Amino acid sequence: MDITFQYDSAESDGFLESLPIELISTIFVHYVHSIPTTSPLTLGKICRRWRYIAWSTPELWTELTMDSLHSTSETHIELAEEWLGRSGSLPLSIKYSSYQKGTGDIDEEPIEADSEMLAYSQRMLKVLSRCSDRWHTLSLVLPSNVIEEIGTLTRPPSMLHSLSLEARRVDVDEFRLHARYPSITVTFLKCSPKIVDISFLKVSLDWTTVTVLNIKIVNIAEVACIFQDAQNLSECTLEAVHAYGTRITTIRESNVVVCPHLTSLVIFFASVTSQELFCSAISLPALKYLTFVGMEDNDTELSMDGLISFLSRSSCALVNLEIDEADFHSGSLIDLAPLLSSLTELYIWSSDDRISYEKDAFYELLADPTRVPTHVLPSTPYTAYPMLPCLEIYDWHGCKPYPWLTVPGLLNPVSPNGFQHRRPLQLVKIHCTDMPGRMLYIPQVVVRLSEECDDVEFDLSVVSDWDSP
Amino acid sequence: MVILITSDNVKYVVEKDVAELSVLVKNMLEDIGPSDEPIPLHNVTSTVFNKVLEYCIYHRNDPPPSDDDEGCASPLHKYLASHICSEWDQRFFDVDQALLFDIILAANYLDIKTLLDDACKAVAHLIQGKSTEEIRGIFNIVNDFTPEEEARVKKENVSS
Repeated sequence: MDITFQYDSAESDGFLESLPIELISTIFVHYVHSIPTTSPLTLGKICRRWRYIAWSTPELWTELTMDSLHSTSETHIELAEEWLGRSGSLPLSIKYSSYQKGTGDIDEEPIEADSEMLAYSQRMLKVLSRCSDRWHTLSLVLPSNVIEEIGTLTRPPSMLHSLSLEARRVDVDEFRLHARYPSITVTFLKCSPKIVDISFLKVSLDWTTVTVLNIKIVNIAEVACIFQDAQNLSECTLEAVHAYGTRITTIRESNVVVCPHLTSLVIFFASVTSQELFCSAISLPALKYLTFVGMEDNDTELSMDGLISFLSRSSCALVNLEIDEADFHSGSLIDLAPLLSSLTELYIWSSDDRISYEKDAFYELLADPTRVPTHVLPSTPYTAYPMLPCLEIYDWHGCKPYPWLTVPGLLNPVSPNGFQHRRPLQLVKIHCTDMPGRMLYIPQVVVRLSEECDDVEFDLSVVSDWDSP
Repeated sequence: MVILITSDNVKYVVEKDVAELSVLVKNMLEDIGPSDEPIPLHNVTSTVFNKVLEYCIYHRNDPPPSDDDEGCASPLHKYLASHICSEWDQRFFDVDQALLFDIILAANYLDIKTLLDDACKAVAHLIQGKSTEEIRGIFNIVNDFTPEEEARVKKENVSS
């Protein structure tokens, strides 16, 4: 790469000659930033004058994306070095993956990081780290033994706004089951990112400014610590929340952690212990949107009592709830219903194909509480009217027969404040993927209702499992 | 009202709020104070100023661009994304290249940032999605790279 492009500024051609260089620069900036996939390198292919102007315009070189179709090579490293050199002193948005697009993804067969790949990844990280004081948006996917080298940065990333780090390794089970993953302890302590996304890695951060957080694999004790500090957090997704190595008594004996502004939480538990600890240690008073599920591949069993206790303590007004009924081997949604008086959207998956009359009682409760045996009614105070008075969207997806005859009851009057009215339902969506040999039809009374009711959209379907691809 | 005179001696009587979209005019008005003296626009012809005036009248009530950079890839990206051309703007800039570049020069001289950005965006739109040869064709540009330079250009684009 030792070619020097000669450009004489007196030379110019075409219509653009009427414009001074700074205006052509402005046009180039609009060209590069108007479509995210546009590369400034295109401008350098046209002629020497364009190349000279493009190469002298730092604004064109502030976004470097290298998650390429090819694995990292010497040319990539040189290109990154030159690219960043042209960006002047402007804040940078960097996206780099050591892995070729579509390979080594978490859910796919892991690939071995050979010595060449490790060496290139290390060198690329060094190049990117030279301007760490200008990182504004950083997204890195690196082998787990390389990513820890971020811990030795000499220039603190004080401009950081958005941080995304993913560590990958071959023995994913070691990662998942024993939670042995790398950590970065010092580097990010003095920066204030607002958006953080971390996978298979432990990062020490000043959490106070973080508003959006995603973590894949995290210890419940860490979650408690993060929520304690992240007082501005508003959206959070936690995948594979585990309790490995956690001193359970420490969490149980400590005070409840309140995260006051968190409105949206998506949480996947890796064990019932982590769920129990979460439910006993955390309070989220502003929570509105909750997805509360067990890890699919772990067959995690969750405690309904824990969820009820968590929601009761939080005193939050949930408007959106997504759960998998099959996660709760004991306990029923029926006990949860009195806590869902503000709920407008309910999404239930039922991945367990066993029919449970205890669980079906919830659907009776939604439709007509007088048909529910008194011994299964909620222990907390309830009215004789159906629950969930604000429900607008009801979406059920499962692999067993739905108690279809409760569907008309969704339109029964409810009475949240002593005044009877119908729920403001807009959509009822029920999709059964049923086992062959069981009742695979929707009763006529329900079909007729769905056709006659103009103001509610019904989307009802039954598919045999044998019909599924 | 403000009186403006273009380089070809055409006089325009323009409402003050419209004229002051030009930072150049606004500063001149502040400098001379209350006066009926016409303000000369040395670098703008009436043909181009007609277009500039049309733009300023249409956009006279637009809110100023926001400085908030919350939730974006970068502050620069946010700034650029914040000013998206409307259908009216697209029709406005659907003119021949010579006039489009004259509008850019006029917007730069008059210091009307939104017009300058929108006009530059319109030029950028001409080359979006085009191949190297097509871009050269649009602007009548001759490929002046040496074979060695061509090889280097090819290499850096293959690896990106």
